[in-house]
Amino acid sequence: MRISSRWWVAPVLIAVASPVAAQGSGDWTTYGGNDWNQRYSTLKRITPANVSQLGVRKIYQTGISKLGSFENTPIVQNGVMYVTTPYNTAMAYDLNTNKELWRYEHKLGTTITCCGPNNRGVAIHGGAHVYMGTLDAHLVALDAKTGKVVWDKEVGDPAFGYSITHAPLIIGDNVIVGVSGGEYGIRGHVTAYNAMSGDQVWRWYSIPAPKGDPTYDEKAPNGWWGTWAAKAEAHDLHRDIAKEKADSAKYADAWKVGGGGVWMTPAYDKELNSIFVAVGNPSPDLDGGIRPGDNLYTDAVVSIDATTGKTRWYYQTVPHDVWDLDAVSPPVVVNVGGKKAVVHAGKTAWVYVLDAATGKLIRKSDNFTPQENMFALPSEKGTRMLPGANGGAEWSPIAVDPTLGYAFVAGLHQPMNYITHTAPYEKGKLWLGSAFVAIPGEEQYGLYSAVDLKTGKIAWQNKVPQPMMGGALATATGLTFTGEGNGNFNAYNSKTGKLLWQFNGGAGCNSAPMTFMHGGEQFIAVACGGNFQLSYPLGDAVLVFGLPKRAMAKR
Amino acid sequence: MAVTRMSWLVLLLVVGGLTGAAWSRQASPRHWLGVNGADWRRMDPDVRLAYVEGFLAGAALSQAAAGARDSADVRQTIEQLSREGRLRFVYGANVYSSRISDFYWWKDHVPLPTWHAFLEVNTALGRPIADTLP
Repeated sequence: MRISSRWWVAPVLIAVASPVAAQGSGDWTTYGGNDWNQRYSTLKRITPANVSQLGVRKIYQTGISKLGSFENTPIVQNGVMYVTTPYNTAMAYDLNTNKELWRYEHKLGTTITCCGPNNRGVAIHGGAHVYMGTLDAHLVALDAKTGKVVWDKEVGDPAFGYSITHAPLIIGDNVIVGVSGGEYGIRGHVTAYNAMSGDQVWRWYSIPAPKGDPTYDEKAPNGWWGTWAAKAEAHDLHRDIAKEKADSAKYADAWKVGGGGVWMTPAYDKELNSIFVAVGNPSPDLDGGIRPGDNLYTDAVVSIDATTGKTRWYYQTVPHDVWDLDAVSPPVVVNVGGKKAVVHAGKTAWVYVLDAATGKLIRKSDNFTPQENMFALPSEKGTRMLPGANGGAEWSPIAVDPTLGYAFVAGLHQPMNYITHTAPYEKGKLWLGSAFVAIPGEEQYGLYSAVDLKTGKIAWQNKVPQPMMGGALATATGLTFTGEGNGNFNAYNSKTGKLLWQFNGGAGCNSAPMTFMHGGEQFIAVACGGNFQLSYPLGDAVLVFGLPKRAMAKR
Repeated sequence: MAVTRMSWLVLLLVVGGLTGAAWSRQASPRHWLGVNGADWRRMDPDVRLAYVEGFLAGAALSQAAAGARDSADVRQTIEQLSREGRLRFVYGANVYSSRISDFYWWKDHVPLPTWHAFLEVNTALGRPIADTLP
């Protein structure tokens, strides 16, 4: 009998093509569930058949004194859960005893945040150190066992607008972190630090410099001015390119304060050795007149070489953005139709599927929330435009079921007028924020959608009463979980979208959930602590759900 | 002739009036409190940055000088306030420049003076107006 010499090829290929399996041990050791950010678990104890029996098994009440948007996804490793809260308290809980092992309260210096005092979580390296980015733009390494500070680096000067809100990413012996502050005239960046020493390994700038500058980026030969794109794919951006070009000499240094924050944890692919980041809005946010050009790499998904920190490719979703429709939701790597792709759910209400090797657009999905007057310019009386400034999809991470080829997206529908006049004028209450003004009386709601990545079609959608901000989780048993601002935490059938279970957590469940194994049981955890931007009820608890013990005993 | 003399008189009065008005404008330059969004929008980027830096220095001086005995006192106070993050206008020039540009994106904000823009931006950044900072 001849045995094929290639029988070993398939398993090797699958191993090479798959991300590092964080769920092999039942732990959840990265913000996105695995390096690819898929938020997809291979755990199989909780199924569509028994999910209706889920109940609260533990509540970790963090007891923080100052509440704010609670956007954390817990990390679980070796029987310990690590949680971060608004205003940068980190804590560790022993899952056996449910007791708090340690607590670290970062002493914040000057801070500046557009969108709440949030923190989305830690990264863990080798089980030894835990890393947290802070609102005053520090990266802090803590001893995983004691919570003592091992090192503390200033990543950016908070007085100049820099802050950090996302969970860092570990790649080998490096810890990777980006900065927020695109509203405040920063020049955004992503930096790799040595996990043990805190020494900087490389820094990549999200705003490319012109030729002659030491940080010149070869992938943007015309600097941040780009190619003067008049359109975003087929959509007219209504730019006055001639005026922008005429003004470009006057605003030659605008790139130095061009914005481009990195709000969320990047994805990493080991085979390509690439980091994929989503870059936020240019600065200033509204006044595009003083930042002519495409404003690269704002509003883009970018591939960065994980060893050198050099740009590989970029795909800009909205050149010269004046609508705050920036790229926020973290990129996700997934195999789509046999090709490795990077997927991003935009504020634009499209899911972009990009070739992971080249950045070329494979397809753009159908819109997952309503669109009207895309890229319309504002007017004094107001131009109705959808999506509004929150999207689409805001920072909420998507989850992907690679077996179905679906991406699960938490979306917002907020009809708004794009207006150049604040109306009515009230003394002391001038509106400085977004140019989008909610239209009184018009319904706002959320849409939880399954997007078929192979076709771009919407497989199913569920409408919920409020615009969604939080994120998704998918499991191998065909379940997807997400939370709502009214406190509902939901489980749906991944294939059909049927609601199978719901629990109300009290405060808004506006964070991305996760799942883990402990003591032979599978649990689902979500932080239910509300959201500052959308005024959802605030709280301080992480809820952990599991099947009843008797259900476990019967198995 | 009477008509010719009258015409000259009218002409002299008109010219005199115009000259007087022009002289009046030259004698009363616009007060710096009146610099507003229209002026901001005309400024080159370097000028904006310098303008903001000047404002921030003035605000720091004003805050530190209250109750100070002498310039050494003021200097010490400014340095301490800066170190402790207690300057009323605590952020960098790039932050204020960016936010004020957005402030004046709103057409009805344009007539408002820049000091008002600084105040609104600073308040929106979470800095209280009063002196009692934490």
